[in-house]
Amino acid sequence: MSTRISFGQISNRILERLFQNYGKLEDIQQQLATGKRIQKASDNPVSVSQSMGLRSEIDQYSSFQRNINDGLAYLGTMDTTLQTANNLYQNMRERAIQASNDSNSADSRFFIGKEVRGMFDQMVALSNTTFKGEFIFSGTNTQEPPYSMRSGEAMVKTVPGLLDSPFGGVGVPSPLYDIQATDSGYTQGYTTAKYLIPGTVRADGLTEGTDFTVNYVQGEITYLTPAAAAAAAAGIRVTFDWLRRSEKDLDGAQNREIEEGVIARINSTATEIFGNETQVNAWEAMINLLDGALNNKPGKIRSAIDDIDTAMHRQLGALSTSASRVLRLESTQIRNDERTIYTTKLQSDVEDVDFAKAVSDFNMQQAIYDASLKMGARALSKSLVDFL
Amino acid sequence: MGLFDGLSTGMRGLHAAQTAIDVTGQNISNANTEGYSRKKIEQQAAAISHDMFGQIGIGVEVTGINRVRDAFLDRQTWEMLGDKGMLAEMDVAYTRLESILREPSDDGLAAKMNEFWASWQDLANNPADLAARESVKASTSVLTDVFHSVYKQIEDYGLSMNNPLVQKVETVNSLTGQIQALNEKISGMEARPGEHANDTRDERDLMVRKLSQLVDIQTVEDPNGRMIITSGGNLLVGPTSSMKLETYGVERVLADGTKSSELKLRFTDSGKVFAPRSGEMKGIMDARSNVLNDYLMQLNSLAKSLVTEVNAVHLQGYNLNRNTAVNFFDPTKVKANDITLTDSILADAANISAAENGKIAVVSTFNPAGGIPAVTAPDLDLKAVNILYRDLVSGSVQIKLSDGTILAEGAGKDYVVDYEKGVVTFLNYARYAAGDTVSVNLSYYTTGYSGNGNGQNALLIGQLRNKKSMAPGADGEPTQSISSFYGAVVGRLGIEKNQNTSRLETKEYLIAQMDSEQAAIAGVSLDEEMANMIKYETSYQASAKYIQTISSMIDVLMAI
Repeated sequence: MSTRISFGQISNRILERLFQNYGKLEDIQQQLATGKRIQKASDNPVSVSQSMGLRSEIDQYSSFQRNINDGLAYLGTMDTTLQTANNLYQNMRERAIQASNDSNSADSRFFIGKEVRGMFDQMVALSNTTFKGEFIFSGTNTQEPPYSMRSGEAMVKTVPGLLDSPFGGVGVPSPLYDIQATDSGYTQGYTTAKYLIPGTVRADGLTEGTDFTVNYVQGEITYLTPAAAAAAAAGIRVTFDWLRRSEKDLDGAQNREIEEGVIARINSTATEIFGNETQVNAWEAMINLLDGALNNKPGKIRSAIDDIDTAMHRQLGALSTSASRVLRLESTQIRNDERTIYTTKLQSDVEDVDFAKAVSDFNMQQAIYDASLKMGARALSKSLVDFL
Repeated sequence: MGLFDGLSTGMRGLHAAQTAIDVTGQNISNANTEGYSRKKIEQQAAAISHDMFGQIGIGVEVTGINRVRDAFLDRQTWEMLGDKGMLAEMDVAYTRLESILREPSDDGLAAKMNEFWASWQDLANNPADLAARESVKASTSVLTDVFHSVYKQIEDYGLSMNNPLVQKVETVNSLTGQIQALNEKISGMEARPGEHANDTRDERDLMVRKLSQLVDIQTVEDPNGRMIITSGGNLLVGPTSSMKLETYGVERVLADGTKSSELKLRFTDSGKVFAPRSGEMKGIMDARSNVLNDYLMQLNSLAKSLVTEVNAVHLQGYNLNRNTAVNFFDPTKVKANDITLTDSILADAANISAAENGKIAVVSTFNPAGGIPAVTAPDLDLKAVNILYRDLVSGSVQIKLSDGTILAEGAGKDYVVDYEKGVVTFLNYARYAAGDTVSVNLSYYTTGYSGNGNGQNALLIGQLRNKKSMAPGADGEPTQSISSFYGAVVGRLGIEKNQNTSRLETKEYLIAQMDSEQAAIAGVSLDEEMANMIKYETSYQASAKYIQTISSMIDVLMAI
């Protein structure tokens, strides 16, 4: 039996094919217009999931790059500061050797001492270096300088009140409590003053050297004469400059995530560079040098030279740590760059249109559509009626 | 057999050709009428018995005009149409969902989530910087806005699906009513023997076809030509009446407790609940109740994980105001439609806890010298012997009077504490007197607060990006991170949509095939009609010629 073909059948089929062909044409057109192979999840669900993952990864790499760049800038500041500090140590050491010479008079030592004092202040300033307004040697307490010069004031009494410094008697070293000590934000309180600056200690009516001596590093005053002791027992005021170390924790680590799950530390802390109170630290060395120079104590100067060497070594250690951190960050940066490029390429492979292919597909599809339109028009117009 | 019989034979031929031409005309005119089946004339040779020659022909007889249609194909098509209607409605919903989620793109949920994590990394670099804090706040607000908007759009779309459902119920009622009326007409007409209600049947088939797209149907024709229609065992069109449907609202509670209202179907008369098995109505109800709600729940679990994970880390950290145990997201709002920052962070970006914990020492009770100071005296410094307590752990100070009464802390209550400076201001001298001994309980940071420059906690939150916290596997361990979970949701949507689309395309192809088969049987072929027209025209001319011949034969006879 030959198949019956009705008019409706032909027109339906032609229309259906036209729609199909036009739909395909539209798909390719949209790909070409946006440059993306995937417009929506259903275009290729697996690719879409992949593409979302890749986007997230690329985004993460750019986060890591920002972290690294920030870290490198930070380390740059730290590096410059440590180099300057190193030069300062060298100069200080030269002056110390000069001052230790027995040929020096007390006066020339005193003048070297004045010069060393300038260097000391410069070192304090270096310890207060900031990056983007934050103190880089304060660990994570970046709002507060690690060391600061203070003008202290202590009231000495036999029976001390809460804020008064105790009087221990003739020949007994007694601590000095600085009642002026005002930490940032605190209105009152006292702090045991240590690291006093030689040449700045004044006690009412008493003379340093004859009436009293001072252990600058420990911050202790010792009254030498009964007269001085009597004055102190009655209550005297002692003023002094001292180097105050922040009471905050200065050992906090500044970390940056530089690769997925890889945390790199970028800061060296005041303790790592200058040493803590139980170690032979930089400040102790410098104060001893100052003491030796200003008060003409060659022995103290000589021992201070060794201490300065120790401090310098510690500081050089911090410098090389910082340099190795720069290297680590830089090599990670290169790796991250490569990963970004690779992942971006991968993303492009997943998402982007192959233009040459898409254009040729488009042309082919257009030809097919044209053909289906022409043939449709012809087939529909034919009928036996034409020949009757 | 006489000459005059020949005239009547010719007449019959003329009449048959005339009827056939009429049918052809009807077919040609209705070539484009929806649901029209071509009509075919049935004719047979008429004969009478002759006592000498046996049976003798007396011409042609038109025995009927039948429509040509395959009823079995129709029933199959109707079934397919139900599936197609359902899949088509689902397809609309999937397409809409896809456009709401807008993935992959630069402004969808995934992109905003990336920005959110990146802002934490930036904060970790600059924890003391208020701008970095504001940026975390801003990227979070954008993220929560996108959560809300995506959720709201899906929810609104679900609600808006109730309207077409109402319309479709009206259409079903109207169709069943019309089919019922046509049933009456057909059974009335066909009660007369030999009569076929061809065109009315075409009309009814068309109605049934429309009905089959809306709801799954089974059809049976009774001996009187009435079509009885049932759906899943429920009578829609009975022998004497049609059953009306109506919608009614119910509250639906999802597995995660989310409530939504939706319409369901029931019979107006009996009140019996009606659940279609396929058709557009089923498609709408499924898309709304299952598909959309499922994605809403996925979004909710995404939001919940985000809130839980970020808060868990954030609570451990310390903010610029030295407080800990502060939530980042409001812990009471864990759904995609209400996820939001806590008020304290909205009010002040300094409350974002970027710093890690300091070292805490707990101090047991001590009695400050002097007890409660006089109203006019300076506030009480918290100090024991010669330790001055500062950097206290927020909220840790508890003051007890000697009689054991515990004082209340807070503005307008008994005392307030400056936790940074370690100073207590007494407010309510009606409860105590100056000089009263008090014992104080507090905790403080031995090494001080870890500092504004500490970004460790922000770093930990930034690292949550890759933490697997969702979709527990067989061993109960989470298998996906928040971001990859969302990626999987989008991927699943694509796969579900593609499955649905390919099923839909299969049904559409089958329906097109069956329609084509039916068109081959029932459709009008103009060429065929033209050929028939010429055939019957010639036949008419021949019959007329035959009558003319008989007539001239009669003339010859009369002239004798």
